[in-house]
Amino acid sequence: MRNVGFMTAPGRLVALAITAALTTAAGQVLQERYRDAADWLSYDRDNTGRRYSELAQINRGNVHRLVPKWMFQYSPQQARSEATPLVRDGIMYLTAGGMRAYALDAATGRAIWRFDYPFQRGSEGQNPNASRGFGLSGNRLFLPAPDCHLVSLDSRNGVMLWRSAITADQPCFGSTGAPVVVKDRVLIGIRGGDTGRVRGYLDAFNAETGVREWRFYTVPAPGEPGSETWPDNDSWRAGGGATWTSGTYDPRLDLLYWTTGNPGPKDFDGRNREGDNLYTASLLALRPDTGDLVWHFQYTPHDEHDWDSNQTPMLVDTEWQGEPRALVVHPNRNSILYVLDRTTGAFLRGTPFAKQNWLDRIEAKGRAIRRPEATPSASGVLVCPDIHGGTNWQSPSFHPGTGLVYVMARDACGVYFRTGQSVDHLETGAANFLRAIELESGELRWEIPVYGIENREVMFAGAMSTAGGLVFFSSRDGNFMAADAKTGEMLWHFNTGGTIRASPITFEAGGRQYVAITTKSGVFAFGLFE
Amino acid sequence: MGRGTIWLALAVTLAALQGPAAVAEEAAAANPLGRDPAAIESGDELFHERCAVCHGQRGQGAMAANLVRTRKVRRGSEASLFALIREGIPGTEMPPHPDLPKEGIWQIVSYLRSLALPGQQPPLPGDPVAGQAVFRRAGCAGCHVVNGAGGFLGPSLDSIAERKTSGEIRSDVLDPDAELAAGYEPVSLVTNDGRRVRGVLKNEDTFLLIVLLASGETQVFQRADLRSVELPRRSHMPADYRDRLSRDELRDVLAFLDRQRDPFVPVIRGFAVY
Repeated sequence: MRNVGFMTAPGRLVALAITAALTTAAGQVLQERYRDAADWLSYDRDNTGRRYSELAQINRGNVHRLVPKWMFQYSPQQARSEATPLVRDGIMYLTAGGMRAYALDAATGRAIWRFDYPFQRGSEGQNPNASRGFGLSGNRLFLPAPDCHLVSLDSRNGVMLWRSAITADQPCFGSTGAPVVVKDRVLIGIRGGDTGRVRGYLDAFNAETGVREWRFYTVPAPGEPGSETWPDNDSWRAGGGATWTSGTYDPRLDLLYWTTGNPGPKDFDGRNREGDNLYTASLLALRPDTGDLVWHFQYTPHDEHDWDSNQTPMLVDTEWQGEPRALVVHPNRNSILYVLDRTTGAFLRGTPFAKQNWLDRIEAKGRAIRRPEATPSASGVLVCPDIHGGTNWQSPSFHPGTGLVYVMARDACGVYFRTGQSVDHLETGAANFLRAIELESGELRWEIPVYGIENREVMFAGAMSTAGGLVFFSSRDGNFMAADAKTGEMLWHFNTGGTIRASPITFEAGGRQYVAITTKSGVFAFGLFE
Repeated sequence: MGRGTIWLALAVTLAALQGPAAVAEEAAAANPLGRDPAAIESGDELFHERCAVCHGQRGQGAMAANLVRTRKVRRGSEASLFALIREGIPGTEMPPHPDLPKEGIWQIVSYLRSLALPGQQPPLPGDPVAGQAVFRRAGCAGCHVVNGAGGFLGPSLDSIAERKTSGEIRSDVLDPDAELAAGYEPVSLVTNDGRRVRGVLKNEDTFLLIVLLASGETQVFQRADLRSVELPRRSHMPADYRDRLSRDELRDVLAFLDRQRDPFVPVIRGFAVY
């Protein structure tokens, strides 16, 4: 509580007592449980977004002895998988898109139960393969189904406990992000911002009952705060700002951090929506109990390049210019690594981490000023990054020991036409890297180029760091790799033989540490050769 | 889009096409502009202005349908396309275009027809039998297989006209460096012990490169063992066939390639694209 300057010490104690009394037992246990490094209990392990684990059995000295321990193959085969599995008490909970899910013995990969969702392909744009994993609270698992329902399963047997509609009054395009559990609520965002038919929102459901408790619209209606950043027409009704990835949560400040996508539609022509278009391409700090907006920070005002801000906002506590400070660290699709104050949303620094030519300058309060030449035109303009961005939804990682931010970054430019098309990296060339950026200075410490087919394709494989001094990452063409977290020396790799578009996890089962990655075909779990 | 939705969209399209047929008859039974290049160019411009927002820059589909693959665009009557553009499709986001002059609509129809898929175009003029002889004489078979005979350093040209339009084949022949076939890109390596290797790059990743040598041998190189890797982005194929071949020879060899339309197309990928 050292940064809550407006309260006296006794005041803080009272506040703590009240918070404790109001928080359900389940919520408290969950927060406490994130401290057990053996488990991986949320999309990014602990709701901080850092994708960092204290486990160190596998470390720099022995990672060369890492071998496959088991593999689990989806049956039937999936078109792709972007899932982060969860692990608790030696059981792994794995989703196969939003249609199917499994519980596995985390030490052997043997299935315990399988859940099949009776999905009927209905309206357009629902992708049954695009779910990135479960949320977990007590004996309840939460999964967004492709038909825009949030589903709760009993973690012990896979039986469905409740099913609640996420979308009722708008076209349904599904949810891609893994649900986030905060206290006794499940938070789930939606996708579809590019369609020009969605007004983004974030929903909070009661974990026990499945009843929706609040909804926060990321595009304000006329008259609401922020509506002055939209013109006097109907564009706000389909204003985008989708919430399609997982947010993070600070229990001390009781703030939920959630990111939003580009304004809609993705037509590279914002003339019908003059203004900043709040709260698109932004970070929102919300009260999890009410959905009240405490502060916001917009990364790309009036976006016309499809630069969603749906990357993980990492919560980092560190020294900042000599003072301990609670930070949000956010490598953005617009190629800039942002550092904000987590309490107030104040802008502290923005530094490019990937090729870009759109930025004229960042003003003192963090407003990014775009070069006029970067505005999409009828004849096309060459802008870096291309629509896939300097990074995307794949997880970044922060290692408190090295002070480095690990980002799967991409140098690529594209030609943007106002008519709604863009020529992407295929014609202009692209290069992918794992980049390690020093948080303190914003400077690139080292990078590992990733060669091969991914130079022709977009990469969605994320990073994870561990107290063993390692950073794990992957390439789209199926290499799973480990490097020295401090120096970037490549220490180990394994060709899984299928597309990787997911981020790694690590856990302990039977006293042994495992590292696991989801591929197109299933899960590979690695451990030390014995 | 689910299969059901596609059928529904098709049904709506068909229903809409039957409605305004009278309008089309009124206009003309067939496109008076045909495949006139100037009409196609004007149609391209109009398409870019009016249609590309939803249908993509080259009609490949975006928010609305892919017009290159749509059966109605490829095979439906030109009169029905005219009606569709003028009247729109009620109940969908395809609007009517009452402000477009008749000629403009026909120009768009000409343009849409020019987007035809490979294998759908009328046969090119020329003598394919003479073209086959040119193919052998000019050395093409040294690198390319047709009907089981030929070399291996270039891609197979079996069924090439099913995969590429006649325009694309022509530009591949005359300007081979413009687009290099995946899996056949030339690569030059120098190993740490000074050995120089040239071949085509079959695959690569962060750690290795797989190279097919002119000898027919496939070698795997670890990046750590290489001093340099160069991709000259230049095909092994001669770039001067425009000079090497007479006008007639070029016409005939293109006609020969244009007849490679066996619909049985085995898919061979140089790179593993997952």
